[in-house]
Amino acid sequence: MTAFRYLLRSLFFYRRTHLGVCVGALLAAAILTGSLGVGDSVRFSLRRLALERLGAVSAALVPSGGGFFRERLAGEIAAHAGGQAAPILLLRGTAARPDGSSLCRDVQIVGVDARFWRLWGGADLLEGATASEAAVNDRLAERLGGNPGEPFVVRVEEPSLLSRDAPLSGNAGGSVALRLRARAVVDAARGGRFSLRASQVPPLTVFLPLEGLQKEIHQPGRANGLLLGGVEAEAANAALRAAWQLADLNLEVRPLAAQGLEDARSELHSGQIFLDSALAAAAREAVPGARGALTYLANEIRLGEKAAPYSLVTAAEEGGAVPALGQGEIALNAWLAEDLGARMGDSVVFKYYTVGNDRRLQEKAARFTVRAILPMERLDASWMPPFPGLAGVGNCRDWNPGIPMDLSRIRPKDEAYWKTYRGAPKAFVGLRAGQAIWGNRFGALTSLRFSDEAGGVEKVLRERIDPVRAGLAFQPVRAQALRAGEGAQDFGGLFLGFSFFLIAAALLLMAMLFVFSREQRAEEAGLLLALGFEPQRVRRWALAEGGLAAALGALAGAAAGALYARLALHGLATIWRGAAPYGEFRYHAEPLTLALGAGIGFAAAMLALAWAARGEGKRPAAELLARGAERERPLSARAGRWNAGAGVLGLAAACAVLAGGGRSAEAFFGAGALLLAAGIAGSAAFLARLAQREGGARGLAAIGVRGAARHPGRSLATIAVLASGVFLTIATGAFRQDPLAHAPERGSGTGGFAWFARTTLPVYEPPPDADGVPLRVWEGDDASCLNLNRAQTPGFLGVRPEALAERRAFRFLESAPGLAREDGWRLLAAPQPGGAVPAIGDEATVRWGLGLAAGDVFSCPDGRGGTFPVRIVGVLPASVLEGNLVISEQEFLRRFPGEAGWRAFLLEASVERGAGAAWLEGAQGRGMERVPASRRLGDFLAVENSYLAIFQALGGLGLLLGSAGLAVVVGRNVAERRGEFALMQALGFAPGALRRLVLCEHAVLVALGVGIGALSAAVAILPSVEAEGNGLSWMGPLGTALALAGCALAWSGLAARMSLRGPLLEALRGE
Amino acid sequence: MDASPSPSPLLELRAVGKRYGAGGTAVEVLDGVDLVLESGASLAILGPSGCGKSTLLNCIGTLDRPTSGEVLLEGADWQRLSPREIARLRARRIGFVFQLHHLLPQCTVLENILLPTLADPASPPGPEAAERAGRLLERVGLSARKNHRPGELSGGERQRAAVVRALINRPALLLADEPTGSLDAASAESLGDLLAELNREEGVALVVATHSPELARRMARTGRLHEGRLRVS
Repeated sequence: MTAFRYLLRSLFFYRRTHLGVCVGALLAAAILTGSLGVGDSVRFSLRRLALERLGAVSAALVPSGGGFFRERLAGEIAAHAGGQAAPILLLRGTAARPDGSSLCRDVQIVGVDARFWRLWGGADLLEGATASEAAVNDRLAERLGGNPGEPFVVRVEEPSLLSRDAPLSGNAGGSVALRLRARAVVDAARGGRFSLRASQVPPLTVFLPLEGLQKEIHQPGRANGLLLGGVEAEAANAALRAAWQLADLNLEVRPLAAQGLEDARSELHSGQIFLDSALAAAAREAVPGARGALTYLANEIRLGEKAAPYSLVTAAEEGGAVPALGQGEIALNAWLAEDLGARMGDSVVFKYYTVGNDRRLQEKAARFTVRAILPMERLDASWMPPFPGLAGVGNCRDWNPGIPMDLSRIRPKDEAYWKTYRGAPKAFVGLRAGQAIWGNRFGALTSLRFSDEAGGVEKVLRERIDPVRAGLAFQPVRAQALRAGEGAQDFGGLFLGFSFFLIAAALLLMAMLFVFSREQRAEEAGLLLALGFEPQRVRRWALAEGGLAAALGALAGAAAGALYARLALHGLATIWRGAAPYGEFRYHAEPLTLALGAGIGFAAAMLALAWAARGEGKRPAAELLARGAERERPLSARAGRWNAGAGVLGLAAACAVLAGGGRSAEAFFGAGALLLAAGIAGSAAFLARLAQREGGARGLAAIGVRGAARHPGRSLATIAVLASGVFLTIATGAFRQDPLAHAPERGSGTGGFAWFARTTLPVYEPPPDADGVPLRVWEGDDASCLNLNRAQTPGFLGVRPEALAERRAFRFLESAPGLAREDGWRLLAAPQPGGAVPAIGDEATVRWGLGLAAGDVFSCPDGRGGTFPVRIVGVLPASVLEGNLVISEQEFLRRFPGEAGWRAFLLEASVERGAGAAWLEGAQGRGMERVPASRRLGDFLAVENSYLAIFQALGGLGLLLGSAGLAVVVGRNVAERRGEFALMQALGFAPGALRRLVLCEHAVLVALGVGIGALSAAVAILPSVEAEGNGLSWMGPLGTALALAGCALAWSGLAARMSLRGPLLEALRGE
Repeated sequence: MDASPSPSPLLELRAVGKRYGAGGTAVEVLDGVDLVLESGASLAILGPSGCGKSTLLNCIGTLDRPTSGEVLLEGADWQRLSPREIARLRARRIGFVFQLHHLLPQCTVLENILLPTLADPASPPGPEAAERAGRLLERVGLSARKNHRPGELSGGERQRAAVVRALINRPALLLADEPTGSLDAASAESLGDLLAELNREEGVALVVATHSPELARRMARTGRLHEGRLRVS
């Protein structure tokens, strides 16, 4: 005989009673393993999606300023770093069937060649494709509908090196329409999911032959994306530094005529017209003695009655024949001096346009005094940068520089000047004076001039300028994608949290069944003690026996966890789809997860058993051995007083927590737990009072109610499970939000706007002020709850703070420490420590999407390849702005100068009338998608509501288990007292009366459990009700509570009926 | 506790009292019980139901603590021992036979008999214990039933198995609380004979609480418990 043999014998002999322990551990392990399995599956699926969207791509280069580089750079980098390099054109556009049906917005248009397909290990799907042939990915094919071979039209904005927001940028909004036919549908395995954005949402993609697309958008031999496989970003950047040319930054050093006005031999200029300030500074540092120039178009230069229209004026530094000019001084060329009749010392006025942040032109004027008149001989057109609509135009009447021009003012002599001198400036001002009036966010120079030869300058600039710092940098997209997937919303943790109550209910039920089985074997424990076994050993054996059953259950649970995980994943794909939009999850569990689930399930079960077995061996052997020993141990009056005191304390603490914590989740759960604890302690006091009550009970009901006090442990466990379940079910139900509840109000998540609109292509005219607020958009990772990946770089919206402040749009939850929440949107203009840019986001974006809080400062990439500090100054509740951080338009333009126009709009209902309607019509052509703001908010709230639905469903299952526990308690209580009931029957009580007695006894427990749960939930959510107005719904949860009470009573009734079946009088004989 | 022969009597009770409850409702079950029992002696304690026979046996057998007085086993008052030492004392020196056999239904007869050997780390090794169990089972006529479950045994057989279990660790003192109380007359007589014989053969002191005069007559001495006091003749 060995202890192990004893354990095995006991385990087998009492297998039916151990089944409860086994099932409890099985449930706990299955739920744990399954929940962790859901996490594994989501991570695995996101990783799979990340790898599908990137193929073999490890690093990618997309110039931060949106510029183009030489296509040849790809080959050069591959030659330096090895690996596979594929140049691409990456554009945004719309796709639709020619009849306008099936319009798809936000389509990525990708120009590719065979090198792209090789990154997915496949053949060139566009080999030999004609100009009208394309490939589409499966999602776009599905969205376009019809036969994939049917024609469709892609509209894409013709890229401009110069921002459309820049002055003299030509006519904004030019787009190219391509009529195409899909010759292939690209699936995920062949690159159909290609995207550089960390999102589980597959993009809509059209693949076009690179060369053809280059021609269509007038960028021959150029690319704006470079994908690199098999080379890490660091090595790629090293190769880039070795291989790059100035042309890759749209820079050119060109030789100048030796007899030029300034005696300069070469000039650096940019395809983007304005030289980026940082680049210009680097170039000045690299080549000392460089002289800057800024050439601009004056609408008019006037001296008295005489005026010359549309003249180029250059602001330049002194050098050669360019005189030193102070503030307010001007040098006219001889032609203009003659035209105006100007002499030295005359005062001329010229007018010019500047572009405001809203792209509205403002004509301004400046007065200068003539200090010099320059001869025409050494003047040339090299000063004029290639302004779109001016450079290369033969006649002045054909000018189209993107500003309103009265071409009728152009005189024949002006045409003659243009023909002879082209863009030679008619006047010079000092550089500082010129920059003060014409400098803009795109730069304050149009060229830098050098005394050295072009070849030498170019060599020096290539050596000294770091292309990576200038925004031409490879990003480790593969590592970022994997990181985004790893840092994704932890669905494992989420389901574990949601299943907590279910696990707790399973364990509690298990512990209760274990206690019952130990009570049944009390004599055995007594015998072991009498035989000389130490109490601890008796306890250990009891625990080991339960542990063996639990281990078997946990092992089976680990296997059953797969089923739970699959069910949960199925739920996420169907009824809870809102929680994980576009999530295509495949079941996957790591071996470690299975082991962990089984291990934790077993450990949790053992803890519950240890708690249940804590009294084992403590009662004297003689008492245990005495057959029929009194198992009922009602609470004493003293215990009742203690519990009453604890209840009052708990209630006071809960009130304090609610008063101090407001509507935070911590306050809700803290106060809820305290209220539940207070309720349970109060119940204990009540049961003690019942037990101590003297005098006879009147009637069966009173006897039944008193019976609830006979087993306070069982009764309190039942009350606790019911109360916790009801609390969670009601509270989560009450937190479900209805997006339509307050949609029209300014303080709601819609900001009171009727519509939220986004356009695929930028819109360059804002809507009328009264009809809406335009938002500038910097596309980052979607940080909303719709994106399962952790956003690596958030997107930004630029807004005029006053536009929202004046409307009192949106409500603020909190502000950064030291700032007043009441300042609202004006916080965006408040200077921040360390020059950080103030940003506002909603709770889901800030807290969950980015893992930040109000007051946090973090670094973000800007539009120039650098970074800038951002401080969260305010947090909103759930809103239509979710997924982005909002900064002031002023800061937006400073940080992302290349982003032109507006691509998001908060629109009033009035936009459909009058001037707004005309604006809307124009915006429709830019791929506008306009949705009711409440629907957009609803999409975001659907995620939260889906989480609550999961919580409710799993909590409901837990409650079901809890009420099953109640049935077990009823059954056990009746079974223990069959003798007592038999006696009552012998005394003449009818079976129905006995059932009523049992029902009354347990109805007290149900009433206490449901009542405490419902009251605790009502009090805990009170602050949220006050804060949210009446967004929380009450009726549903109340109905749920009543249904639960009914369900629990039904269980009790059923258990009473079943337990009281059969001839009771046999029990009397047993007595 | 030393198992070697000692000059002290095996068991000595000095003014042992046991009271249940407190205040006006207190019940004095034992009131100054004195008793001396030598090794190998036998004693029957007689008395009506509820007179405190089981209580007295529990106090002797370390299962219940007296309210007053001393219970000296081989010269030492067990009340001064730690719980661990008391458990060890029970395992090594005291055997119990209860009115109900309390055999574990999940174990065979042999396993039930060997169960006490697990309580005492100093118990003889498995084969030796099994051999003794075999001898004892043969002695009580149960060798053919050793692999049976208690449920398959008659009441008398079960009680005999319980006696063997009580003797497996060679206790110095065997306490039997109404051992024949749940047996028919024939089984009761047979068990009485067995206890008396084992008392002689094994040299184990025997204290039997009973209200069966037949069983009492088989013991060397008889004590009567009345109003909490024990009078031994």
